[in-house]
Amino acid sequence: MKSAPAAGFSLVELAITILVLGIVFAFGIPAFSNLSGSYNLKGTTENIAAQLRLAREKAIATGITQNLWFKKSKCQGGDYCIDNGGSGDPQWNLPNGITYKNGTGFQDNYRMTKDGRSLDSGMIIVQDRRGNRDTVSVQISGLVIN
Amino acid sequence: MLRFSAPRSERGTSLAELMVALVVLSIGLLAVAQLFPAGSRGQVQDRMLTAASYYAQEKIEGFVNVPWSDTKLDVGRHPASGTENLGAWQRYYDVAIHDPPLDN
Repeated sequence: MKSAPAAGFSLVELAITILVLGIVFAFGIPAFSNLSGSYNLKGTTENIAAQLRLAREKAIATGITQNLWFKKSKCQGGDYCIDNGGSGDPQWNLPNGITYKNGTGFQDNYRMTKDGRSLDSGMIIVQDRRGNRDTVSVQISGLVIN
Repeated sequence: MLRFSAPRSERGTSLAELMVALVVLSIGLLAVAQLFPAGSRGQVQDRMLTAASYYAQEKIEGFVNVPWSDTKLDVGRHPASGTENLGAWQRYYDVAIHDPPLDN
């Protein structure tokens, strides 16, 4: 029995399909990259705020002032760290593409004391490659808002 | 030139059918797309709410070393009128006397 000849796509049909696909990706990929970038920035401030709050709790629990630095030159390799003069002090890195933005109100050192207060108040400002910014603010009362 | 014609039983979908299918699909996609702004709005609202609870907690912690005789703990609303302005947030607190026995 003779089967019907198989008719495939023509080159023009294939070209149109690829063109449409290309247009969809041209809009889709930057949009997705924007979205994931903004989540990255948000996540960075969440992490910083969490470390500040944890340091405050630790200062209250142990009675030892916790000294946080948001300056690379003050941390052994990390972007931000706790420096209590010990050797096992923790340090963390900012995600790829996220940097500090030094501006008015930027404060790179916070000392959390045993009474739950911070000796320093100010903001930590971070920005991504596109220049989008997000901040964490620390108040004298020890309140950390992000 | 060689021309193939498919037998009657193997005809594909017509353009009109394809267009109708695309319209139906895009209506569905648009409905799903509405969820994204709604989710983003909810996220901002929840962030504000979280920050508000931190502000409330801050106020409570501030009373730890305040003696009962302090005017900050006078019965009534503090401040008596208006609110404390905290940027995007407004704060006030009420002091009330609960009749004994208390739950705890």
